[in-house]
Amino acid sequence: MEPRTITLTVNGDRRCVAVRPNLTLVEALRDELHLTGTKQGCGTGDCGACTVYLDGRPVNSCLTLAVEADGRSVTTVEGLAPSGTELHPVQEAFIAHGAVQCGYCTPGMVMSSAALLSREPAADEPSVRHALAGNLCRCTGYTKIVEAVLACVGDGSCGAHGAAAAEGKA
Amino acid sequence: MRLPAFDYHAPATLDEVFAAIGDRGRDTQLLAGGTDLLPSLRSGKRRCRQVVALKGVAGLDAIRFDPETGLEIGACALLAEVQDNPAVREHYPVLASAIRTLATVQVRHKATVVGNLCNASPCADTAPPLMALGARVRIVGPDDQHELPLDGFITGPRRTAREPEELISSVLVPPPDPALRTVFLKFSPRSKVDISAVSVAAALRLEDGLARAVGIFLGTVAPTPMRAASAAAALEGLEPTSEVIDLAARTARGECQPVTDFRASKEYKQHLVEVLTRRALRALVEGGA
Amino acid sequence: MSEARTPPAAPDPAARPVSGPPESLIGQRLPRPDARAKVTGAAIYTDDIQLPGMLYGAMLRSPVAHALIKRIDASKARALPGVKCVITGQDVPAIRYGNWRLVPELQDETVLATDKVRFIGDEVAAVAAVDKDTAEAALALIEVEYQELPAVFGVDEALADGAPAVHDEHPDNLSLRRDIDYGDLEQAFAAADYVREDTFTTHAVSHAYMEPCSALARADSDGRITLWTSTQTPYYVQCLLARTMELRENDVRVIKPAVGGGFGGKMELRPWDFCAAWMARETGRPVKFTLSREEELATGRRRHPVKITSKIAFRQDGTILGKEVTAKLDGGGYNGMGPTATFLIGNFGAMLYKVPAYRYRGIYVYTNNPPAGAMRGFGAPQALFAGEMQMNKAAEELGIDPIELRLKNAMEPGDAIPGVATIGSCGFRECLEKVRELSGWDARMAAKLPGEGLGIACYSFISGGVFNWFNTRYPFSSAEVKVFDDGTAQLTTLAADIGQGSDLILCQILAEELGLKIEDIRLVTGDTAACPQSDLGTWGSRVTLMAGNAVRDAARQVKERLAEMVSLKFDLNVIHEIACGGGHVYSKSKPSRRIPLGEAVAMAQRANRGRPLKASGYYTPRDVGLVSPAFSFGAQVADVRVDLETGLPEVQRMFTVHDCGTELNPMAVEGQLEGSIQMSLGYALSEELLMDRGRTLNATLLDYKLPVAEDMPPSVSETVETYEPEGPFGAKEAGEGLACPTAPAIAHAVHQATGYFCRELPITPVKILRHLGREI
Repeated sequence: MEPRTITLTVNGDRRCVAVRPNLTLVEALRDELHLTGTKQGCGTGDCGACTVYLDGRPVNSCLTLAVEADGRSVTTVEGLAPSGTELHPVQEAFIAHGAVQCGYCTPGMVMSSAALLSREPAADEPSVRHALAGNLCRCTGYTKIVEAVLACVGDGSCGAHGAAAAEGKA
Repeated sequence: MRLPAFDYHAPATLDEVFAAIGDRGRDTQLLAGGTDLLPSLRSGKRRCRQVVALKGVAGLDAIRFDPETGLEIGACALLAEVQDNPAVREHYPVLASAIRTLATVQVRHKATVVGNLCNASPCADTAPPLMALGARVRIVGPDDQHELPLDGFITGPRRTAREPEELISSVLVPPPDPALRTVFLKFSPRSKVDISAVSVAAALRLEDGLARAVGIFLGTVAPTPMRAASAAAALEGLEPTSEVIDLAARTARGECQPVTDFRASKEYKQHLVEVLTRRALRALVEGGA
Repeated sequence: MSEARTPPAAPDPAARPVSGPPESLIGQRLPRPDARAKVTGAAIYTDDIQLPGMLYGAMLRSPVAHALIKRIDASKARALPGVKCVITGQDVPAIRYGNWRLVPELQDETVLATDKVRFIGDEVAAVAAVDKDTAEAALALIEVEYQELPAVFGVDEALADGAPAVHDEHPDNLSLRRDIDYGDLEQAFAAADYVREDTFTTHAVSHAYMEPCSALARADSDGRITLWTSTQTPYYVQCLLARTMELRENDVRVIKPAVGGGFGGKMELRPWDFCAAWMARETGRPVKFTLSREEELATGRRRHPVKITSKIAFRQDGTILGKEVTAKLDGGGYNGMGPTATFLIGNFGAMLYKVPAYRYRGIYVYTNNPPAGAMRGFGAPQALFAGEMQMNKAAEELGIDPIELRLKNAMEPGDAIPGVATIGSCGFRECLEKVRELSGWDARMAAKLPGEGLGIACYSFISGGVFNWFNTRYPFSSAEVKVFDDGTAQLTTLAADIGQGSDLILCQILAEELGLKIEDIRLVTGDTAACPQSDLGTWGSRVTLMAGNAVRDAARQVKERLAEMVSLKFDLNVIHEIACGGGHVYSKSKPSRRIPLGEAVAMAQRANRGRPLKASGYYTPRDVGLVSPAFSFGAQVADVRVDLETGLPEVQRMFTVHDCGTELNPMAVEGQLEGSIQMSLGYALSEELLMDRGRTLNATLLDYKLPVAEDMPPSVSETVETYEPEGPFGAKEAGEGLACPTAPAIAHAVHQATGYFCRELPITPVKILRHLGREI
């Protein structure tokens, strides 16, 4: 089980990293690339805290081998905001609506929410709840999270941001 | 907890896939989405010395639709891609709606339809609807290829008719039959996101008020997704009155062979088979697509 | 009133007036200062920290429920390249520890098993290695020879004659008794028109905080230890780590980074805290442990399963005459926080209603299950499930509306619980009246439909505990406030925000006292070496009241100095009241006589030859009984529809009216309510740690089922505002009581809908269908 060197684009930056085949993407992001915004809550794809975009698609990075990301593009929560001072509208809405408590599910929630809004900018409440059903939260009862996402529907800003981030161009 | 050690191959062609598998088929796991494979490697339910990833093989991710020949879903086509595919939505809505109930958005953006079938879980949610649509699988080996009906492809829990050195290149669905009504129902007593306690896919045509081409397929209530042949026969050629539907539902209950797990007991699953079969058939008769 | 499914307009902080009359921060829907770091992924949790040279730790756990350890041989593990340290129970001091320092006999745990293991998952050895693969490989090389012993897995089994003893010191497996007696119970039952007795059992559930436990330790060259750990109680961890490592408390520094939830599950010293610290000292390198979710679910603390028998006496008119409760707690292999739960179940058994005569017999029973611990509500969810279900059944049989029956017996301000407390503020009656209106109770009860039902349950809860079981010699809460001549302030406190938002609330309290804005307050917290001694941490819904009072104490001392400056500068008559507001210190009767706060600070410093202006504040509850300084109340109605074919109960809507005193930040209060409903919906319907002879069968989040966003019912809530004299600005708890009524309210609604009366949680479709006569 020799380490392999993989090259991937993370949040727009080309990165090379040597990984053993049994390393998962979340482990590589956190332990090797020091992108600790992505959380590991279960390791079995059930909690969604590790959600990242792989070639623009939201996936569980704990169910993805790091070697699978070779030659591909990964966006993590650190790459969602357009700049260090400006946030993605979903991030702003989470803050304003009190959708954050302990914050451990938050990076994954934010990533799932932004992915939904880029796919369905006019999502209604059932769609939001369905889209977030792969992200567990133990603090908020999801109420304010759903409110925050719905607040982004209709202002039009999320679609563009989400699409850009989803393509790894943000 | 870490994944066990294994070697990794990412071939670009089918020939390279077979070369990588070589004579190590029994020590090899093919990786499509990995959403079932990785947890089962971690828990020790599956073991392997090497993982061969199919993602890099050109063409395996295709979804092709032709009104004459039907639908072909490549081995690496994602559940989400199939769910969102316009032809699937228009011509095979039962498949799209079944995928929508399967796991989560994140899993559907990583997992594949073929992987769901090859994982050979009794509760694979794509199996009953694809069986109801009469799907076949295309099996490719180093030297030849052949097709098998999906009904029968899964031979037991985590076992299929695929030989270790073969792979499933695609699943083939016959051309759409506009008169065929189909429905998929799934039930978990605990959550909207859960492995099915019971699932039912049903299909039939109504011809002059009589039920024809009846197919009833059950998930999670036998070692494999199963055809409820007696239940279908109880309805075939008859006017689907509520008495006839009740009889078919009771027959389905009688022919399923569930086991108790912590989602539901054997007896409860039997009961659910009857309830869900009845609801599915009623939905078809009352105007299912 | 908030309708949860209708998003309110986003609050715009900029819309608040920047000048004009100072606006109170109390009751504002303020967003949290830590939210920005959390939405960008910048917030640092323990497992996010990597130190140079860091080693990875892993725990070896017992695969058997009850056994003697005959032999441990770690030589092969030690010989594996990359392994830097392996420790077993023989390598470390066998010091017994536990949170109950007041009663040392109750401290029954050692950090690693010495001669015996008592549950599947009991910590036996630990490894530190250069990477995770090596650490896990080393675990497999440690040879342990177990001599299995007969084991017990249920309270009655454990109490039976001849049952194997989990601890030799307790041959009867009885760890602890708690008795409460007041009033003449025999007389009460003799005089009763109606008596009923019911037995209820509740099940084990997991906190399922999203952040698995993690600890990272570094040993300094002088032998001192720094430990970063995911904890609710940095002070307890500091004290107990010092004790188990035979260090002085001041030689241990505990830092609490951001914590991803705790709910009671992170309030003890845990073996990985110790092992990280010990092995860091042994190797000279930092050591980090992070638990897997499987470890958390299979071996972690859990809510106590309890068997409760309740006997209650009424007059025909519904007046409660007396109540007798017995509770048997399944504690698992060790005490943990169990003694407290045994006490509290007794208190919660008679805290909502006037019960003139009461007898409680609680026992804490050792079994070979994984140990239980504190979990949100801590005894109240179990006690109130039993008590409220019984109230509903009694109402039915007495022919009295369940809300009327409660109104008849409801606690009121000034009522005393003998030997426990006197109720201060209490809006319970108003909660009942309002929830009746909010839920359309009367109309729905008059026109019942099959498969549909409303159910009600209520709660009362503590705002922090009085009983000093940790035997601290410091104040329960402490705060230090410094003000600066730039008009800002610094608050330093060990009060532990684990996600509930107490950091914001404490800043809000200080900003309100000093007339500043939230952004004017710098908070220093979560570090035992930097914060004043002490704060007992986050549990028992204590932080807002106790730490909030400490903050006010310190702030008022600072204000007093600032007031002197205004008085001096304007030569004010001594009868002037001086206030802080809008960034100024001013005379209330002549607001034009004012000084910017920073200038007042500068004056005060000049007057004291440069000495910084700061003050320390403290709070320790005194003369408020044995349980709590203040009590919250609330009433909740569940609207449930049951699919009579599948048996599936689906909650259509929750209605809640509660009394948390002054709502300091309604957005934070709503967050507590909404989160409580999720956790308690799971407790009622979908969550259960399934056990087979001590083994947890469903140790993944696939198989242990938390409600997801799609499973949540809409929720409507209102608050009854009371003013709690013991609390800061009239506030009391809102974090835990709300976790109690949901399960009994749903169970009552299911009873109304189907006739099924749940005596054994959780409520499942199979139980409902069996009641309906289905043979399944």
